[in-house]
Order: sequence, then structure tokens, then C-alpha cells
Amino acid sequence: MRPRPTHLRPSHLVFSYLVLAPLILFIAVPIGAVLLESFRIAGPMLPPTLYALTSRAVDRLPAGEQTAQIETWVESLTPRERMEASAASLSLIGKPVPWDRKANFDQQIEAAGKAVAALSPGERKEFDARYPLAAVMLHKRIPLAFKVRDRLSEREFVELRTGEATRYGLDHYLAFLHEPRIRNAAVNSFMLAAIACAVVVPLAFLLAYGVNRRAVPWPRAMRFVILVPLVSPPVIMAFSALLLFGRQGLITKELLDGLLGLIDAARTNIYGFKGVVLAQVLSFTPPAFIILDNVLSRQDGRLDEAAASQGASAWQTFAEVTLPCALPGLVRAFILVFILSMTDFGNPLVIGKDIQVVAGVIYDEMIGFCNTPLSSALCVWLLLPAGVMYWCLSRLLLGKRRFVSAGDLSAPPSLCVPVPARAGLSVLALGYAGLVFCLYAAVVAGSFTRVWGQDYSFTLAHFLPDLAVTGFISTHQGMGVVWESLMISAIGAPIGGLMAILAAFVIERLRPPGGAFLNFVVLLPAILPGVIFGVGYLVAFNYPFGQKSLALTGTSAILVTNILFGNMFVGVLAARSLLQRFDASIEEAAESLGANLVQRLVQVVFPMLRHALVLGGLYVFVDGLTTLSSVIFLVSPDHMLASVAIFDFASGAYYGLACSKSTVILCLVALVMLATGLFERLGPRRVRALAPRSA
Amino acid sequence: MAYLEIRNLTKRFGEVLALDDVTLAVEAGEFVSLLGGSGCGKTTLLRAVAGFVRQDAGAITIAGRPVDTLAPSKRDIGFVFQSYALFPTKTVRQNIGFALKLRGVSRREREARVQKLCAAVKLDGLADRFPHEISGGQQQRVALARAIASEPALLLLDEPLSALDAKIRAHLRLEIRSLVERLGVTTLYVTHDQEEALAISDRIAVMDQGRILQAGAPMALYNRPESRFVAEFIGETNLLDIERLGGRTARIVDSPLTVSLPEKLSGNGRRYVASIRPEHITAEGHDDHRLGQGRVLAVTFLGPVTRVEVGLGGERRLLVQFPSAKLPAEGLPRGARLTLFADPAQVTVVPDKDQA
Repeated sequence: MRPRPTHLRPSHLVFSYLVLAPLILFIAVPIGAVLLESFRIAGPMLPPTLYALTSRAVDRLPAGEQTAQIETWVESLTPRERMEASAASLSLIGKPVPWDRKANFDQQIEAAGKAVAALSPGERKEFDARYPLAAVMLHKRIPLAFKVRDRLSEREFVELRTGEATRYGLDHYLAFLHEPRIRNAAVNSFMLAAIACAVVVPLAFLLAYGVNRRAVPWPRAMRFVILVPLVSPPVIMAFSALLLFGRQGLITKELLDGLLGLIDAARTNIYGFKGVVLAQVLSFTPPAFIILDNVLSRQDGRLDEAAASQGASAWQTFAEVTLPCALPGLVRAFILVFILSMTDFGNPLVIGKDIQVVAGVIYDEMIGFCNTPLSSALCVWLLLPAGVMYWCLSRLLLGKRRFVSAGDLSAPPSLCVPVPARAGLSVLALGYAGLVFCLYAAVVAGSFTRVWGQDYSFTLAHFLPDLAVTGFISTHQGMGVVWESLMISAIGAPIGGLMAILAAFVIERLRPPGGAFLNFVVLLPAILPGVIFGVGYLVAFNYPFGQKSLALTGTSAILVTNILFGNMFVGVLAARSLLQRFDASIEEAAESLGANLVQRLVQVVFPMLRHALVLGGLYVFVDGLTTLSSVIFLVSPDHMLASVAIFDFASGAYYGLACSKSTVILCLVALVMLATGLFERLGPRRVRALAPRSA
Repeated sequence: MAYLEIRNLTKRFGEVLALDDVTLAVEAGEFVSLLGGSGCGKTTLLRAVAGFVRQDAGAITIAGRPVDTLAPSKRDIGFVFQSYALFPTKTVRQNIGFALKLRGVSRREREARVQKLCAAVKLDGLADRFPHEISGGQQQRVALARAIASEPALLLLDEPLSALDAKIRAHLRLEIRSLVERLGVTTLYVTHDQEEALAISDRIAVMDQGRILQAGAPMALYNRPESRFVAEFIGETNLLDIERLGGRTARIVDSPLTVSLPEKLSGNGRRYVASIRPEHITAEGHDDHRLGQGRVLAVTFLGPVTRVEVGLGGERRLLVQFPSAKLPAEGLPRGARLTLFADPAQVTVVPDKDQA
């Protein structure tokens, strides 16, 4: 990092923090809230605390009424209640209760009378002083609370009424010890993550290798096909796999069962563990591919040539040079897939039948029981294995070695992959791309099919619910929910792009104190799974700062902010790397010519960062249409998102509706990306990086 | 038959003709440089010899063995890259020992060989460092040691010094030369730096537009360039127009100096120019050798020699280099009149650039 500019003018400082404050509010606060929430335990108050609270409440009674009111309350008590008040008073003055609290009430009442009579005069005095309030505390707390409600804080009122208060502890973290359901889910999650990693990482690596070494047919088109699922609606892989391989699947039921009679589709189908594995493999190969594609495309082809000139065969070059140099990428891909699999609830819920996973438990606890503390603790648990693994792997495998050759004289690989390897890679890539293509074709076909598996006649009813004959399924049957998604994306995208480049400018150029921390905050959503970010928003903005009126839950604003801040890192990273390539002296030149901060931004910085603005906005837009994991906790009946509706329909087996919405979203995403591409190419001329690039 | 034979090599990259019917023979143990500006095809030629680039036409034999269909790994070469291309995940020791490991040399013998190689390229004590932990010059020494570790039949170096500082560059090129001499390995060396090529090579092949214009010993190239390109590219020179007198004689325009044309004339109607090196022009001489009279325009004192720019009237200028000791103690004043002479034996007549 370059040193901070020596003179940071006050106006720049104010501007910096104005730009960065929302990052704290909408990223750091929700994530902090999850952490805090995970330790929160609601439970009965201890007697001394409750006694003190009661006494405070009694003091708030109108001065004249206090004694009379207490007397009325105490007199109205039954013998049993008096006995309990005696017991409480005894323990309040520090004497153990000398009778068996589990005996029947008549015996207890008798014993209580004796015990009180046996007190020494001093003790008796203390006992009498505590007794009325102890009685109120035990039996008249609720009427008291309502009587003085206006004069108590909201929290005091609730605590007095319920006798319960919040304390902090590790109970939720230890829940899995005594809850077999969670333990079982943890085992399943771990198994799934391990299998997903074991399949996805090698698969993605081979695909990336084939594409980068041009060992597969049409490498550019292949890269495109491999990446398409990244901009697709959620769980599309899971329910499209069901369309082909499910109980009613085209291949399982119609082909293998019906035509060939090989299997019984009702019993042999993709549902269950293997289905989740398939859906996860198909869903997580693209993100792993991005990482490995990036690493392999940067590898210096000269290294291969060097190995070849040393006499290394193609295989030896691969094993000795290509693979070791890709190790950091492999580690990152491994961790990414592990996190993605651990935090995936969509695929298991749609295709997993009864497979319980931790992320599914979080989903159930949040959606079904609003149990935010337990969900939060489980969220933290989800991160832990990945975090530990990352630490271990980077220590053990990566160490202090470097993996790229020094200098910028690298060149793309020139040597050809041997024919047998080419053939193998081609078969793999074509097979993979073919499967992905079939799955997408099934989705498109499914959106025009009346009832998949039963009635393959053509219909538009999944697009126009008025045509449906099946009747009412959900309020989100129509396309309204897609337009709502589109609107939220369209609002979020420009704001997100703009905020991203402003934040990047502040972090990279103005460098206010704390900038490095805020840079870390921006990147948090990139590292943390969406589940945490969603739960965090729910916890933080349901009751922000104890003010109900500030609540964001149930609005569309919470969806916009969640999507916006969850994806801002893309624009920030892009803008920062652009700023690093441009010489800061360009802006200093503008400043020396008399431009103020606004002019500098508008005239100099924004044009340089146009690409980052577009990319950041596009990312927010696409994610708004396709994200599931965080917004699923934030949608409300009035503000639904298409992605969540698709998930609901898919898990409810309304495949036609899930397919039609997915098809529309795929078309929308394709349109927007095409338009963006055209804008980038045909719009105002792209500013070229001025940083010199050596030949 | 020469040790390395390159015959009629042609290579196209799309529209660009990178190698245009290149023929070159390198004797065993010879150190030959391929010299030329960027895009002249020198690196392509080297990479074709290594097998990284497959030629469209022509043939290459190394030590009598045709290698055209052989993969680089089968050609028994050592290659040094401009960017070093050290394996970043391997230590210096592992980098240098890589070829030996591939050939199944035992660990103990490998250790001993690596030790020797480290000593040969002055890398003692750095064997367990990673490439990013040593300097650029040291990295290139590692690359050199790695390339010669398996005692290859042919050593190929692609601008190995161009990424280094001038000082290290001059130092390292002497080391490369003496190391190669000691090993007796046949070497092909690509560079764009004519001074480097002159200093290091037994022979230089000057390349332009995919062709070898002239190949010869450094002195021969310098003193007897066969084309205007070579005359200008190697060292500095004055180019003067001549008028043909018939036969193989010609006279320098505005001067009594007669010179002879090269023995093999390249076609009729071809224009020729005379090339005179600045140090071959003198301030005194025979009247028949008079080049002309002019005024001193600029003087640059360079220690042992002094460079003088002399205007002959009009646009014509001559660059002259005098030994400083031969000049008057107070130096040459600007505007001083000088009469300049040249020995016809030291004047070379070369074909002018192709005319459109």
C-alpha cells in the first residue's frame, strides 16, 4: 500500500466517512448482530434481580397508592401463594428453605408457618421487610407491570411481565450436543461438502485446463456454457434434474421405465443424497471454474516451454509445473465449494427428500420458529470448518512459496496438449456441457408443458395464470413477482455501482483513517455465506436500535439494501484495480488545475471507472434476479422476489411455475448482459489503461 | 555437415511472414548470435530450433539428427528465457536439478552436479532459496545453470540479459561467454543489442523482416557490411551518395575519392551508397582522398575519443571520431574549418535500401 496522502483536508474526511458510513450500517452491523444474537439466551431471571426490578416498578406507582395497593394484593393471596412468597423471602434474606419444596401443598404450607415462626427476631424483621414485595414479585407481577407500563421502559416492562431476561452464553453453540436432529444434519452437511469438493474441484480444474490449453473444442463457447449457471435462478439445477431424472422424469420415467422397462421410476430416481450431490456438483462447478480459469489463464506459458526444453514430457510438465503452480487456486476453489455446500439449503430441500442439513435446519428455525439465536449460532458453526481448513491448507500447502513467475514477461502457453489428453478432456467437457444444455432445455420445455410427467401438452398457463385450470396455487403464480424482482434489481443496480466506485475511490485515493478496515468490511459479504447476511439483516433491522419505527423488515428497501451491499464488493474490487492501474498523478494534475473534489470525481475519476460502474451495477442486477440464500429470510407477502418464488414452487413440486419464471429470468439476464456488452463496446470510447505494459 | 543446420526455414503467423527462407549453419562449439530489431524473426527462429514453434517449410538438423517432428523435450536442448521462466514453486536446487531428476539421475549424484553448477554460475549458498527470494541477475544465473545441467547438445538463449540492469548485463555476458567456452557447447543467442552481439559472438547473423541479411564474424560485419541495413545497424556510419564511373569503380559525390563497388553486384539499376565509419575519417591525408571541407558544428568529448559533427554545406553532415590525443590541447572550437580525408580501402560501398 502506498502511504496515506499527507494532507487530508477536512472536507475530504467528511466526504470519506459519508461514503463509508453506509458500509458500516449495512454490512458490519448485520454481521455483528448475527454474532451477538448467537450468544443471546432468553430465560427466567434470578430472584434478586427480579426482586430489584419489582421494587423499582412499585416505586413508580403513584405515591399515595403504593401501600394500599400492595396490601390489597397481599391480602388477595391464597395460602399456597403465601407459602411460595415465604419461601422466596427466605431465600432473599439468605436463609435456605428448610422444607421439601416438592411435598404436597398442605404439608408445605404447614412447614412454612413453622419455619417463619422459628426465625430469630432480627431475621424476622428482615423477612417481614421483604415479604410483601416478594409476594408481588411472584404473583402480582403482571398487573403491576401493566399498571406502571407508562413509567417503565419497554424492556423493563417485558422483563417484569415475563419474569424472563436475556443473558449471554454458549448454549446455542452447544445445542448439537443434546439435539440429535442437529447432530445428524451436521454429519450430512459435512459428508455432502466433502463429496462436493472431491468431485467439483477436479472437474472444474480439468475443464479450466482444457479451456485454457485449447484442448477442448470451441474453448470460448465452452467457457460461456460452463459459466451460464452462475447467472441462473436458484435451485435450477436441482429441479431441472428432477425433470429429467425424478419420479416423473423424462429419462427415468418415460425412457428407462416406460420405453425400455429397465427400472421402476417410482423407486429408482434421483431423489435423495445422490440427487443433492448431483445438484451441488452442477451448481458449484461454475464458481470453482471461475477461480481455476483465472489462475490457469495467468500461468506463464514459458514455464511449460522451460520444462519441455528440460526434457519433461507433457504429463511431467503437468504434474511438476502446471499443478503445483495452480495450488493456491485449488485451495481457494476447495474452500469455496466447501462453504457453498455447507450453506446450501435450496438443493437439499428441493431434491434431497428427507436429507437434513445444517443450512436446512437454519432455514427451518428461521422461517418456522423465528429462532434467530439458534440460527445465528448455527451460521457461525457453518463458517468454522471452512475457516479452520483454509488456515490449515494455506499453512501446510502454500507456506512462503510463490506460484507465479516474477515480472510481467509471461506469455500464453504455446505447446499443444497431447492427443489422448485432448480426447479425454474433450469428452469430459462435451459431456458436461451436454448435460447442462439438456437441463436448461428441460427447464424451457417445462415452462410450456401442462403437467410434466403426466400431460405433455403445450400450454401458456405457467406464464399467464389466468389460463390455468388447476386453480389457485399461490399469490405469486403470475409474473408480477418477476416484475417486482426486476424493479428491485433496477433500483439497486445503479446505486450499487455508484456507491461501489465512490467507496473504491475513498479507499484507494483519499485513504482516510480506518480505510483498510472498511475495505475489509466491503469484502465480508464475498467471504461470508448469504445465509448469514440474510439472518443478519433480519436480526439487525427488525427492531433497529430498539425503535420499531425504523424497522426495515417487510419493506422492499431491505431487499434492495441486502442485494446491493451483498454484491458491492464486485464493483469495489473492479474500481480499485482500475484505480491502481491509473496513475494517481492524473487526478493530482486535475487538482493542480483547480478542480475541486466534485469536479475531480465527475470529470476525471468517473470516466476512468466507467467499466467498474457498469460491472458493479450489472452484478447487483443479476444477483437481484437470481439470489436466494439471503433474501429468502427478508421477503414478505407484499414484497416477494421471483427467485424465492421459484424456490417455493420447486420445493412444492410446481415445476411448471418454477420453470416459466426461470425461463423469463434467464431471458431477462441475457438481455441485460447483451445490452451491457453493447453499451461497453459501442458507448463512449473505453478509457484505456495508461499503465505501460511491457511487450 | 555443420552441427546445427537450418535450411530454407519459413514460418507464417497469419498475414505476417516471420521467417522467410532462412538458411544458417552453425559449427560444433560455435557461438552464433541472431541480431535484429523487434519483429525481425530472430526469436521465432530460435523457438523453431527449440521446437516451440513448428515451421511451415524447411528443415532443421541438430548433430546430424533431423528434429522437425520431434517435441522440444526430445531435441536435447537447453533454453534460457528472457523472463527466466524459473519454476516458482521449486527452489534453486530443484530448478537446476529438474532435468537430472527427469533423467532419473540418483539423488546423490544430482546433489553433486547441482553443487558444481551452482559454483560454476556463482550461486553458492543460494541453493535453498526460492526464485522470488533472489535478484534478477541471480535468477538468470539459475536459468543458465538449469539450461546446461543436462549437458544439452545445443544451448539456446532468448535475450537472456535484456531484463537486467546495464551493469549486470555487461558483467553477465562475459560470464556466459566464458562458461559456454569452457563447456564447448554449441550456442545460438538472440539479442537486439548490437554491442552485446559484437562482444560475445563468434559469428553474428543479422536479421531483418524474417531474413538473414548477412552472417559473419563481428569484425567482418563491422568492416565489410554487405547492405545499408547492416552498415547502419552495427556501429555508426556515414552514408554518402556515389556516382558510378563504369565498371566496378565509383566516385563519391562532390569529392575526388574513388571507391570500388562490391564484387557481386546485386542486379542492374540498383542504387549504392558509400559507408565510412566515423573513426576512419581523418583531418589530414592525400589530396585524392579528400572528402570535403566543412565547419565544426558540435563537439562531444568522450574521454579517449572526441566526436565531431562537421557540416559540409547544405544538408550534408559527417560524423567524425578523432582520438582525443591527436586534437589540440584547447580542443576544437565550434565553427572551425576542417578538411576531411578517408582511405578508400576503408570505404565500403553497399546497396541502398530497396526503392519502392
